[in-house]
Order: sequence, then C-alpha cells, then structure tokens
Amino acid sequence: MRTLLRKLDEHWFAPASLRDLAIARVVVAGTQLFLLLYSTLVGEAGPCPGCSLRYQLWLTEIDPELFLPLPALRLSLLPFGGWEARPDPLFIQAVWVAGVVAGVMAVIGLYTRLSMLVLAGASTLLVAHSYSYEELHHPEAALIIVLWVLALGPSGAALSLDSLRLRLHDVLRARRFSPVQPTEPMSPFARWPLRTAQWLIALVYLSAALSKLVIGGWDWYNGYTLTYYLTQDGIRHGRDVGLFLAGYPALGTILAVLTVSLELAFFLAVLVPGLAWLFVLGGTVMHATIYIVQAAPFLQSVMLYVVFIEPLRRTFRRLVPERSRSPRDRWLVLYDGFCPLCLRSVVLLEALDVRRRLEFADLEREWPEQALAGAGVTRDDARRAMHVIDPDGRIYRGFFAFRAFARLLPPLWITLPLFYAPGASRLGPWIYDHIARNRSRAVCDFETCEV
Amino acid sequence: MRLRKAYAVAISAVVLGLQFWVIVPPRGYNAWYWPFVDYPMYSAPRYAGDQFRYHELRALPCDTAAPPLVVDYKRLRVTKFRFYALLAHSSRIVRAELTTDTSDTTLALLRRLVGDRVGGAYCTVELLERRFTIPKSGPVEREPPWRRVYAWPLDAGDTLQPASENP
Repeated sequence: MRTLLRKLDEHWFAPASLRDLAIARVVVAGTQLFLLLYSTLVGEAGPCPGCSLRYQLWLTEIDPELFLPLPALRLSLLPFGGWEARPDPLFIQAVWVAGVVAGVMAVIGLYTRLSMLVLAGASTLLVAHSYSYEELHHPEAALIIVLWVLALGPSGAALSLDSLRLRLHDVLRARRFSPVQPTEPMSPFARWPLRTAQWLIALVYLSAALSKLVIGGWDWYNGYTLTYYLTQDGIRHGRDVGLFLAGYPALGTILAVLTVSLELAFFLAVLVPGLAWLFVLGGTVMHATIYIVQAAPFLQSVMLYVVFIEPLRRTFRRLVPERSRSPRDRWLVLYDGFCPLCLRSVVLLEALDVRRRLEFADLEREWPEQALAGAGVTRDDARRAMHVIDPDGRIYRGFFAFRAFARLLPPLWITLPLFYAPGASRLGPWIYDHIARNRSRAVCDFETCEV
Repeated sequence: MRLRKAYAVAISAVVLGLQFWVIVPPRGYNAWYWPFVDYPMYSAPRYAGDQFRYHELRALPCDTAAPPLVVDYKRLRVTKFRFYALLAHSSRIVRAELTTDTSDTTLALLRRLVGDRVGGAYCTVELLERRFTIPKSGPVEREPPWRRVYAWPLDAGDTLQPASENP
C-alpha cells in the first residue's frame, strides 16, 4: 500500500519543469485566443463555431422556443442574471471582448491566474451558449477543461510577465543582479496539471474506442462502416479524397483497426513516457487524415498534445543531443550595477536570452580585467554606456550594443527593422546618450555603496 | 505542501472523475454535462446497401418563370443541425416511417418556421430528398436525382423576411 502511494505521489508530484507547464499555457491559451479571433473574422465554420462573435450574435436572434440551455451555460450565467437568463447581444459582446483581452494576457502571462480563469470562463460561456440550441460538436470540450486546469495550476510561474516582474522586484530589492541558474526551474506542483490533461486526453480517446466497440461491435470493422462515413462526409463537404478512399472497403477495415487500436491504447502514452512520441505522432496523423478526407476539424486535439511536452522533449534530446556551448560562444555584457535602469535592462535581456548566449559582469563589482585586456575600455567609459563584447573580441557600445542584442536574441528579431531603419544609426545613439546621461545612478542611495 | 497537494488531488479527481462518469458505460451522445462529454461519433456500424439521404428545402415563386429559392437554416433562424434534423424528421414522417405523436408537431414547426420567414412572391414550399446507396464495391453514385417528398402552399398573408446577416 505504501509503495502504491509512493508511486502515485511520484506520478503526480515528481518535480517537473515550470517552463514545460508555461509552454502548455502559452499553446493552449494561444489556441483558444486564435479561435476566438479567427472564427470571428472568417465565420462560423471551423473547429469552434461558438468562438465566433458573429455566430453568437446570430444565435441570440433564434426563436426562444429553440433555446435549451446546457447546465454549463446556466451555471456560467448565475452571477449575471440567474438560472433562467438568456444572454443578450450586448452581454455576449462583453464576454467575447473579455475573453480576447484575457487570452492576450494569459499568453504573455500578465496576471496569469486571473486572466486564465477569465479566458476559461468566457470560453465556457460562449461555447455552452452555442450548444444550447440542440446542436453539439466535440472539438472544444477537452481544450476548455484543460484551460481551467492550467488556470488552477502554477502555469504563470515561468515564461510570463508575472515571473519577470517578480525577478525585477527581487533584483531591485537586493540591488544586485545574480544570474538565474542555467538549469530548468522545477516544482513538485508543475506536474499535476499536465498529468490531469494527459489522462483527460486518454479518457477522450477511450470513450471514442469504447463507443465503437460497444455500439459498433465487430461489424464496425466490416469496411463498409468507414466507406459509409467517408462517402457521407465526402459528398457533404466535397472531399474527393474521401470519396476515392470510400471505393476500397478493405482499406476501410485496415483504417478502422488502426484507429481503434490507437484510441484504445492511448493511455500508454501517459504510463510509458518513452512511447508518447508514437501516440502523439499517430494521433496527429489520424486527426490530419480525418480533416483531409472528412473535413472534421480537430485542431484543439492536436494542440493539446503540448501537455506531453516533457516526454517529447526527452525523446527529441535522445535523438538530437543538446550542443554544449563553450565559453567562447558567450557575449559579455558590461553593465552598471548601481543604476536601477541598467539592472532592469539586464533582467530583461536575461529573460529574452532563450539561447543562453549572454554573460553579465557588473562593472563596479566584477570588472573583467582579462576579457578587457588590450580592448581600451576603461571603467569610466563603461559607466557612460552599456558595453558588449562578442566572442571575437569586438566591442559594441550604447545603441550599437542594443542593436547587437536585437540580432542575437530571437525574441528581439521583430525589432530589427527599427534598429536598421534609415537614420537609426544617427538618431539611435543620440537617444541612447540622452537616456544614459539622465538616468539615476543610485550609488549613494545603496546601503552597501562600494565606490 | 500537504494542503497544496490536497488541492491538486481534488481538482484532478473532480475533472477525471466527471469525464470517466460520462463515458462509462458508453451511452451515445451524452451532452448534458458539457464540457464533460462522450465521443460516440461514427460508432454505428454500416453495411453495403445502406442508404443516407440529403435534404433541401425550396420555395417556388408564384411566377413560375422565376428561379426557386433554396431556403437554408440561416433564413429560418435555426441552427444547421436543428434545420437538417427537422428536414430529415419531416421526410420520415411523410414516408410514414414515423407515426408517433410528434409527427404533427414536427411538420407544424417546419411550416411555421417557413411561414414566418418565407412568403411574398413565393407560393409553394417543397421538401426535396436525394438518396445515396453504399455499393458492395466501387464508387457511390455522386449525383442521384432530387425527389420531392413533401410540398405545401404558403399562406397569402405571409411576407418575405430578410435573412439575418449570415454569421
């Protein structure tokens, strides 16, 4: 019994990467945000008709007799007008806007817990409303449940503006920048949301397999079952590939066996992490095929595979070992440790340095004599502007240091047109020097003033 | 630590417990507890010789030279699923496959929805059906003819309502 409890504890609470959990948050919330925007711009067709604001507004015009609210909608509406309420157009618009704003905040990790809860709540309300007129589709359900689970877990503890704000706060309070450890940030509470999502996906596939086994029986594999459905959807959606495949019942038998085997055994992806890649690949191929031949969009199911990120990353690392960077690949950043603005910049640069190419040296506390030997940079020079030294010993100063960061750090690539715009080389240094001259330098405010 | 673990266990247990409860045993389309739903799509077995039908609703203009109007779900302000279910159900009633008490209600609902949204220049509404049969081998016939299964005259007092802006 004790062994079983220990194994269960390990299964759910063994330390896991907070960054993996954060990536799951970004992908899942990003998918829902994309669906809210895409469905509204394109129309009701697609993997989430209820995400479309236009479709939602059209639904509010439907005859009240045909409105049969799902319990999920009634519960969602309780704080806004009671059990029997039917959403009006203004309310629907407010919920949709709240969902989009919360979606953006959830992706960037600003007030993550709150924004994830609002995104999950708004999505639940909108989709439940769209299914309160006797129409139901399946692609949204699992993703919405996972949104709630991620909202209730520590998914904002990494890759978020919240974690950056916390780090800034710590650095400014300590008045000293210490680089974060190069190892992954781990937590025993980073695993359970991913595990819950993994088991949820396994149960969804189990439901599909059990239905075919119990309702369909052996006849489900007779070849004509898939022929029938391929023909039906092929004609309805004009899918010639589906109609072509429907002409081969023997192929239908093979596809039927493969589909049910994958669905039935999917729980192995959770229990045997080494097999996760196989099931994720199989599931992706299955959903892509279903979309191509039957026009059934299950985008959410494919995006949800992100919750298997840990076993997938391990498999990938086995195939493609990580290249260890020699110290010669590093860029040395000289910063003024007594300047709060410089400390903020350094924390930000560290957060953006996803490839770990930067090394930082506080010019007041750790002046790198060796690295600067013969470079002709004095402390006074370094106090006037940030200096960066590349692995070949080239020195970039002020504006040009930041332009080098824009080239070096992938998240900053988007700013490159600004740094290389005509006139930027003249205007940039002027702006930089203006800011640098007027920045506060808290030398004498610091209790541990060292100069 | 213990409290946080209890919180995590409680959430996981509720989520997975609810999901398990709706899928075991398989009942087929159990949507009441959405987002906790089962997934029985495409699970009914089919055989060579099985048929499926597609339906279309057309309003015929009083001026026989004018083209007919294909009446879609957006015009009737019902969801797509509800619209086609209504047409299929009506077709089965007319073919005398269904003779339950709901027969009159279904046809009355269809006629009322059409009467509310189609009228004016249109005098007759017809329900058409196309039948596809799964062959023992080879491709299915892709363009079987449309057949009229039901038709009724529109009341003169009905007016043509503009269709709502399509979503």
